[in-house]
Amino acid sequence: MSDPSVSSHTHAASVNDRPVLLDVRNLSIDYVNKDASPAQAVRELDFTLRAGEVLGLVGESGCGKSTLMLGLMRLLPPAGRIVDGAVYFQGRDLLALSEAEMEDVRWKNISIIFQGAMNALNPVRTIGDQIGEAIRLHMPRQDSAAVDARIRRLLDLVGIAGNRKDQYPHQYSGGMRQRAMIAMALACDPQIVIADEPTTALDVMIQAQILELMGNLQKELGLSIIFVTHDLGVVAELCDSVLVMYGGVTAEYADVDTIYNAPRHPYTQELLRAFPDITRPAGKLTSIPGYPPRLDDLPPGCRFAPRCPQVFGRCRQEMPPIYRLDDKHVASCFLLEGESV
Amino acid sequence: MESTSVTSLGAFWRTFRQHPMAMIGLVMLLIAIIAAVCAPLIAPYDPKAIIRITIDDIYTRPSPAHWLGTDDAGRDVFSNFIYGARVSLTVGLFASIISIFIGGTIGIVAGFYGGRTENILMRFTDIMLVIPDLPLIVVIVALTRPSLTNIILVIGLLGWTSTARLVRSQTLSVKARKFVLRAQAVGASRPYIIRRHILPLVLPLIVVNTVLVISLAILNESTLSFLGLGDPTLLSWGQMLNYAFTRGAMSAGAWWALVTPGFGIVWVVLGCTLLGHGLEQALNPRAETHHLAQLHEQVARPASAAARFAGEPMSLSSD
Repeated sequence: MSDPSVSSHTHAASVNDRPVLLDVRNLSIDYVNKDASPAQAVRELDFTLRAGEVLGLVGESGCGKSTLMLGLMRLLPPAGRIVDGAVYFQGRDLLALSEAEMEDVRWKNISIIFQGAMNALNPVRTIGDQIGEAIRLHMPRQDSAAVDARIRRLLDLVGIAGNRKDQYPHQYSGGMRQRAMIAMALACDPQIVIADEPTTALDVMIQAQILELMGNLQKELGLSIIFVTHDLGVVAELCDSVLVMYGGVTAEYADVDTIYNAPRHPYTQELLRAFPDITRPAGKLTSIPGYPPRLDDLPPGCRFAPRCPQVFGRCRQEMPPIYRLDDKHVASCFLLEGESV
Repeated sequence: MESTSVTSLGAFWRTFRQHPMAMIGLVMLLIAIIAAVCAPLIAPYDPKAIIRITIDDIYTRPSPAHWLGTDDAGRDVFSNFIYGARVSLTVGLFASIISIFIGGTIGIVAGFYGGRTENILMRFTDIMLVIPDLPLIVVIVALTRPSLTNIILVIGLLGWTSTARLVRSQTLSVKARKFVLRAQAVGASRPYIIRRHILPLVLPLIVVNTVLVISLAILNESTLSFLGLGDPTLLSWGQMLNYAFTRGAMSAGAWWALVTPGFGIVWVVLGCTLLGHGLEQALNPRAETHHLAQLHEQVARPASAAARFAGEPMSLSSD
């Protein structure tokens, strides 16, 4: 925090003293291919999540965000393989658990708010029934009246009248469905909620409502949230720390103020330049030319090299290691080699 | 919960009623079922009663005493016809339950679990599918005792292949939907997901298929009986055809002995087919009416409206 432009973010400071809930080390995920070499969807990813921390996971489509999240819950599609690393949840390595033990961790400890609520709800079962599903699976001793009361309380928590629990997903509006998904994610009092682009496909007013709701719930319940998003505005508003991914690897990982005020990785800088800033209305928006790399056809050196405005010879031959710039700021770029501590 | 399931059942019935073919099929089947259940009340004679006959009682023409004439043994064809419905419907019902159960289970398990399980189950299904049913059924029934139970078992155990294929493909498409992933994330086990998430969406297909499999089973039973492999102690429609065919109904000109059981078979099979088709439409309305099909109904303004706007276009430039 040596940069003078970093504003004091009291919340972030207090978060750093809390216990580590989730500790992801060197996580690498492949998608195996029958006749080709595996696609390296996630490579050597490290991050931690503390109790009550909100982590933003930012990056373009296809850079491995969703794969990473599904990998944490061990819910990858059939071709997905976790080939390296460890995921410690409260000191327990989730990758060492049996499938039955993992079923118990899912939702009770870590739950997901999926993107596209319509698809994540079964169209032929009522909302209440589907929220109750998690409760019944994880707290089987509760009688139906208690489950019912809990469903109503959860719906009430997200601002839906309890008597609408017997309605079907098609009778809900888009925003309500997303609220119902949030209620579902909270059903078993998880410590960590993964929000996988929860506001995609909602209009801006509803987006704002959902984000406000999530912010309030986070404070009220002391949740840890991993927020997967494209939207840097959301990140600035809600998150304590930010992990910027590119092509399956960490580009930059720091607290939110550092990312916004003193980004060091060229990709983060370009990403921020592509995002409108109300304090600099005259500033021109730019886009980053090109596309993220295909994960089965990666460039030999730095994965961002083909699109990087500050690229130089070495970037195209070698993969940059992750440089630790200070206590809570890491980035993977050769330009930062001299500053590494 | 109770009220919603009742309303959705009511909604289903309302849709179902709009399909005249389905209603006709349902009525046809209901008539057959009522005839079978109330056979002793409807049939004027008991087919199993011991009767004394003379040569004149064989193949007598339809008359007030015998509405559809008599058969080669001097028995009342109409009574035989009514009682025959019992055998045909029993075989159809029980054989199709067996078929649907096996086919449904194999289809869902193969579709949901995938991989090696699917490969083994589906190659087995393919093998069963390419073996011609009828010769195999004939061989098995000929080797075992031709009793009603055996016939039901054989028809049921061989008639599940198409169901398995259909159910598998539907399971594949349901499995790919996101709520299945969500259920996994919730920590649901695979049997639970099959029961609570896959089955409700595959069930409509199974229901429709059941009705069609019933008609197939009835046809198979009739064929077997006609070939002389039916249960000799029971009088089914196929059996009636068999007797009439082998015992000179043709040369005696006794068309009623042949046409009557044939009509029964056609009646029930047609009823099943119509009902199955109607159920398909009612359970999956999109199969029939595409939303673009109603495009011509979209402009619903009165004819006078066109005239009102026919004048000058509205313009912002004023001078």
